[in-house]
Amino acid sequence: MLKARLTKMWAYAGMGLVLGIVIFIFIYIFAKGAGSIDLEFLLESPRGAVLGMEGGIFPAIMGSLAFTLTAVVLGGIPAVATAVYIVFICKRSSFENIIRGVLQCIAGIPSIVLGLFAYSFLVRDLAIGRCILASSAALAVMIMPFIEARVEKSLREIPQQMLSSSYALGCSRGYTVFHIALPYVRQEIISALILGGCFAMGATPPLIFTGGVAFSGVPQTLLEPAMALPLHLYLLVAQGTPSLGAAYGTAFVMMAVILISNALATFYGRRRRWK
Amino acid sequence: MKKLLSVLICLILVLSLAACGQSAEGEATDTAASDEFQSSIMFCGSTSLYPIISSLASSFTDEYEKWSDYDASFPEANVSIYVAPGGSGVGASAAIDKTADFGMIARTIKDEEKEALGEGYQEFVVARDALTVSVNASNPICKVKDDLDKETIKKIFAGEIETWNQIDSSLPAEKINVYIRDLSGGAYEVFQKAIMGEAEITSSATQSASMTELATNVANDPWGIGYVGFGAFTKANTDKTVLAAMKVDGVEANEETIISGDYVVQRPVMFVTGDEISESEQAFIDYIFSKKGYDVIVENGYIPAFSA
Amino acid sequence: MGKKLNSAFLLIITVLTAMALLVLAFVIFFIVKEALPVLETAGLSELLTGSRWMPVDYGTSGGMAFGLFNFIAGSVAVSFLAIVISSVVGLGAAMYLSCAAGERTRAFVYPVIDLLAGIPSVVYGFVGIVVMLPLFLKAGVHTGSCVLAAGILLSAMLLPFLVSSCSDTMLRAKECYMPSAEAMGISKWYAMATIVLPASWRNILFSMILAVGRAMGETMAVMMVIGNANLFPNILGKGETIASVIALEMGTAVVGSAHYHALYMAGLILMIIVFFINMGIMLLRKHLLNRGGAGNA
Repeated sequence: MLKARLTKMWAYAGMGLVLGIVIFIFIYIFAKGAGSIDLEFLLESPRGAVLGMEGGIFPAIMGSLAFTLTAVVLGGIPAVATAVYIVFICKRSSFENIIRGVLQCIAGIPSIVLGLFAYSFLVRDLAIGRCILASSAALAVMIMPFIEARVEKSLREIPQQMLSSSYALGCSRGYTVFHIALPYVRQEIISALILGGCFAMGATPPLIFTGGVAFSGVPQTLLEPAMALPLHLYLLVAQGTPSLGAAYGTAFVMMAVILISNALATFYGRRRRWK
Repeated sequence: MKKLLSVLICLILVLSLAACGQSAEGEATDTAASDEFQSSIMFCGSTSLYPIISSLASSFTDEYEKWSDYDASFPEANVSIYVAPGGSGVGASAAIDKTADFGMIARTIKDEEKEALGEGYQEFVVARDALTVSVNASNPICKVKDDLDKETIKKIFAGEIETWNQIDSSLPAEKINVYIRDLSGGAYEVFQKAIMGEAEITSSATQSASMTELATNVANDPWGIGYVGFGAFTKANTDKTVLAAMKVDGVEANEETIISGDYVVQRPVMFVTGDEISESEQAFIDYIFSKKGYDVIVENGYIPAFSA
Repeated sequence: MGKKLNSAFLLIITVLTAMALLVLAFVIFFIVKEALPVLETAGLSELLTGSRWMPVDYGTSGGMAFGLFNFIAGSVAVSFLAIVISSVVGLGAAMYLSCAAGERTRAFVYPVIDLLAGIPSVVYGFVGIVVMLPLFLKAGVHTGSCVLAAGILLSAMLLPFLVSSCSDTMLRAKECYMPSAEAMGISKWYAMATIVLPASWRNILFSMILAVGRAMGETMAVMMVIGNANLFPNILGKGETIASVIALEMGTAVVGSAHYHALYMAGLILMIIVFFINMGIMLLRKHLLNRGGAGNA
């Protein structure tokens, strides 16, 4: 029975540790960051001799929003389309394997290399300059396999019965996909897009060489560079002690966004997932 | 509730698409106006200079929201100044590729870079910085020695001298931990040229991504040594002494010796461009070289290369 | 909705997919194209087995060198360490979730664990710097940065994936065997240890290997705590991973220089390693599935 007791201990310890880590990180950041958070911090530009020491992070919040939304639009639409294509349209398994291979390959590219690609190709060769669009393109490529996998999974979980009934009633494939399948998984798609957005929001490497800057105003168009929360945090940390307070505050904001988005995504994606 | 949310999300998507469309239009008018006026300025490069420029960019935009506020003859365009960090190498190549208006560099410019920037090459030296050979203030070496000659420094950084007692027999036989900047920092090259010559820095040296990080590392390691920049050195030492700088060949690193050039391990901190300076750029450059700029440079621990 | 609209919709989907595929394929092509020229300066064997890295000609006596070996070893070591730590903790949690927890607990705990996957890696790096490095410093590691610190951070980032995939596997195995075990009066935990775990080890192993692929590409968090020195990784020593070399040095590299191509090559090598891991798992899984076996699905 020793085996049983050891296993039990292992299980409880493991679970406790995992939950402990989650709770620790969130509480630590929230407790340390709460002091820096006030209206000024959220709504003003960074200032001070060591930038960020005074003032706030408003341009970084707006910048992150711009990066994330653009990336979700650029990456989400093709991701959903590809998932629909694989599940409903593609008939040849060899072709499906090619698509899967390419997606696997892309999922395997470290995000820093994607940033490199965006810099070399978009910023330099196509000369669109350092801008939100260039970074978002890299982010979009990064989150595409992620969103595709989730959407594909939910599409595959649609009860076959439902689809066969639709076909039996003489509905075309296009009608079935558009009116039966997609509405059925709408919530999962939204949940996948939100999580993909979170993933994009937290990524720093694709921004470093492309459209992320240490200082800018609130972005007005997608063709100018912008600040971003993760990059701002990284630079604040690199600046050392004087800006540590602002660093905790920035981390606080990011963690709050993550918490809210995850709650939303869970709310949307819950319906079938935990059955 | 759900409906509301999906409507909201749709709205956001549509808005962002609209923003795309608008951006295209905005761009069109921008290029049309660019013949007359440049409303946005982009700096890119050195991690040593970017805090200074971004701090100034921030106070400049605070003071003048629109260019017309700065000079009534300027159009009523928003002031946008961007500062992207990345390292001196990035700065030079960004200025050459024209992905930035100015490249920030914390070393002397290479001949081939100067050539690539073309006839219109201009440099604006903002400050001077030196690389101090710093050790942790608690290191017993501070009590027995305050001077290292170039040859010894070279051997330490090359990994030929591995323990402290090889420098002075009264010191403990602890291993020397060498701290350097990564290859993209201008400091790497400056140090290589001034001290190392043909010798190679030991591969066991720890790389830091910025001077501040380098200073923190040496401050945390009682057996560390590293070429902490003068700016980072003074900033790290503001509260109490955590770092101690060695004299190099008998010359101490201070404002006087750095300006006079007696202290050899030093570098200019500057920004360069290959293009003509536009009116708006000139306005911001004037601002950098003003009293305000002077103060920010001093606050960041560097020695201004101009007088206020 | 007319027929035309329907077929137009199908067409749009197909076109979008084709476009996405083309773009993705182009990204891969571009990376390969930018990586290959380095072979003119350095042979493949130097790249893979050399450990001297001097990509810029500073006039040093040894000249330029492009050995990526220590970086590759660093990436592998950190990932391996992370997997080991993460598996030990994650397996425990997975056992709890599949055996002790009820439906409701699971529905609550899964999303909480998923939060770990959502935390940006800079935040991990930041917490690593302000919380973990001082601890290592006190324990006597110089500056606190070391391979172990990076491994621990990375293991936390891998937990959500490992926990959810392992507990899925174990739940299935449990559904398969538990009724008989209960009928024989064997205790829950004893059955867990002697039946469910052995039955699901193969899928657990798959998940672990898949997680290696995810761990290899991680940049920021690892770069912030690993110390970045070109050394063969040692658990309490410093190291450097492929991703951190790229992030640290891409800025300097003059476009078109050997250094630039070498960094692309480093990225390509990383990509190939991860790709083979993923593909290998896919083939292996198919192969093993054909032979059947309990706990596999």
